[in-house]
Amino acid sequence: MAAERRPPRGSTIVPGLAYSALGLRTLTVIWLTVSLTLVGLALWRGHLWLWVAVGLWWIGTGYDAWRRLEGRRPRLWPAVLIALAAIYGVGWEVTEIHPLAPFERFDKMRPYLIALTQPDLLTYPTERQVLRIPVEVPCIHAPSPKEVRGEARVWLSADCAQPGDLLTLHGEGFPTGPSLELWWVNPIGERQRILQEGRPLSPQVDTMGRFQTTFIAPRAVPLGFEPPPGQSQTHFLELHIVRVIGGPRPSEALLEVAEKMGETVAIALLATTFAVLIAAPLSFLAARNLMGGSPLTRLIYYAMRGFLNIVRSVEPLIFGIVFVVWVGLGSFAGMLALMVHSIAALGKLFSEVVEHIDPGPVEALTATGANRLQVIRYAVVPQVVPEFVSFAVYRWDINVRMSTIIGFVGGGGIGFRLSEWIRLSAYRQVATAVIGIALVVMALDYVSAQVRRRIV
Amino acid sequence: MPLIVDRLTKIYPDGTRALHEVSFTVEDGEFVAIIGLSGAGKSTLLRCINRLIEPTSGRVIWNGIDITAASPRELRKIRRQIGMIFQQFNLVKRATVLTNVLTGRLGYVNPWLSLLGYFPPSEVQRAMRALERVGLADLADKRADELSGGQQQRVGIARALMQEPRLLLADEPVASLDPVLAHSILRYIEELNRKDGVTVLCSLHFLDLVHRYATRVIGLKDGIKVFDGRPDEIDDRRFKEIYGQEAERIGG
Repeated sequence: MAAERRPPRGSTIVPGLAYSALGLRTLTVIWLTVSLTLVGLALWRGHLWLWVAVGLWWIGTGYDAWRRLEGRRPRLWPAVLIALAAIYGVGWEVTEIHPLAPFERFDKMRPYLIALTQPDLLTYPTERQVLRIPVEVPCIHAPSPKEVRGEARVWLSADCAQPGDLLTLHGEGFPTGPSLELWWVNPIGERQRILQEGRPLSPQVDTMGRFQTTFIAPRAVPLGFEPPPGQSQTHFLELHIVRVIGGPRPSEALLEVAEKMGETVAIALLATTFAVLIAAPLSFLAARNLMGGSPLTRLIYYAMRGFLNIVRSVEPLIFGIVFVVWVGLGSFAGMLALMVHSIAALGKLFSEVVEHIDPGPVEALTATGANRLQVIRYAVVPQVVPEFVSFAVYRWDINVRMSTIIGFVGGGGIGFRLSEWIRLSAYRQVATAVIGIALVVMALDYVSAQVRRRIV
Repeated sequence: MPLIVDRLTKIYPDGTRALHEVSFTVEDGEFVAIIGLSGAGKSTLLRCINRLIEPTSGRVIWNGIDITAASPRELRKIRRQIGMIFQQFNLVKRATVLTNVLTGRLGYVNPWLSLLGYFPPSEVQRAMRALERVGLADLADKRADELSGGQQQRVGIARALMQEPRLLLADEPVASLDPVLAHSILRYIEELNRKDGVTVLCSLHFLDLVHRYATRVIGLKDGIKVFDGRPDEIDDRRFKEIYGQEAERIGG
């Protein structure tokens, strides 16, 4: 009987038709979808090899369909392999995968990694004594050595320089205790630390009170204030003699990170609390076991479910951007963004908790003549509260992590400051912030795990 | 003021016919055992009487009131006079024993105050008396899930006592318990029946318990009433009618 109804072998020229004729509906749909996808990819990227893949897919599925017609075992895997190769090939290309980039561009990352070992945590109150040596940039005359006398004496190898020139500084009569710093000040007063191999230069004074150091004159000519051709500007080399006067205290960055971290935790706390207060009642409306009674309640159930699913699918970051526009930059916008997302996320979780309660007590209290609210209050609420609390604590934990990100779009907290520091290349401050975030998140993670373990 | 069950039928949405035209009348003060195999319709019958399950057709009339036609408000008034105890006890496990007992009174107290968790002192005293009656007064502040199975079922009885019921529906009240505990639980139910004159409808598995406690037996098979009479009328032939040809009698 099957033999009589066997479709003609010619139909394998279009494998989908053969599948359809064989009554393999799912396979027909898959074949059609994959074929359209591959053709679409080939049209989009325009590569020859994609057209070859389309052809091979066609042949591969045709072969499979022919085998099925012959009553032999299907063999679809070569065609599947070709389709996957084409899809991943395009994916690889579109993602611009560059496996060597992390190694080749490691120098971009190095300052951050170095800074992580020396975060900006403590400062020592200092007193600085400054020796200023004028330097003409560029040289419009033959350079000659320059001497400056104070309590100590310093010589600079040249009184004029081009950016990139090698200069030597040596000094005599320095005390051995204080550390030395070299700064370059341009004509409009912008000050930069002189670096050597990317690290601040700090000459060492020997036991005789002398030091010598060589450095490169930095590129410090201010944009828009370039000297006219043939003229020079006066820059200053500053030698700071830095004496520590007193014990360590928290650095400005540390204080700021601590304060903003507190703000971040508070934003997350309020967002979570408000979200719980709103999500808890909503979750009862989104629980099938409580709302399955009449068509009206079932309508509310579906509406609630739909609402929660839609809101939940929007990333908090997007809400962050929306609320920053709506209520203005700052913590309030961040809090609202987290709250809205949390309402949906918690509402869904809570409703699932409600759906998985033991129906026994509900039945028992209904049988005593209790009304619907009484049944919820005495049979449902006691069963769900511990799990609600557990999910809420977990959500708070998530929200702390999330609110650091929301800060990047202007939602307040540590993220806002961190994004600024990243833009300013303030590596050590970035390190302080990153360490602060990591510590707080780890601590909260631990606390929330403990709370959840005790409750459930 | 009898309980009249009139051609009660229940067909579940999946097409299962759990009850088919079951009719009987129970006089005040009877202790009726309902027997039958698992799935014979015992639980459905009990739940159709207080409409935890809506019957498909037929009527239940109690004290002259048609329960099957009652409005939601009337139904709550009726339910609060019908106690019910369950095979799985159906206590709120995380609540205290006292709270569990007090919930039996929800149909009587001020609903709004009860939502705030408030019960008048007189009701708390009533709950303590109910617990004393089942011998658990000293466990009032324990969480329900800290109690043994037998103790939990006694809490279930105390909860039903709070309703001052005139009718008690008991759905396999001892099936989840050690057989040695079965008598202690059934004696409390018997006492309610004899002393307080509460009518009892109780589904039971073991025939020896039926003989010991019931004044009347209703046998169900595949949702149809196949026996209605005194316990001592169940002979081998009747037994096989109720439980099927392959069943063997064990014990009493």
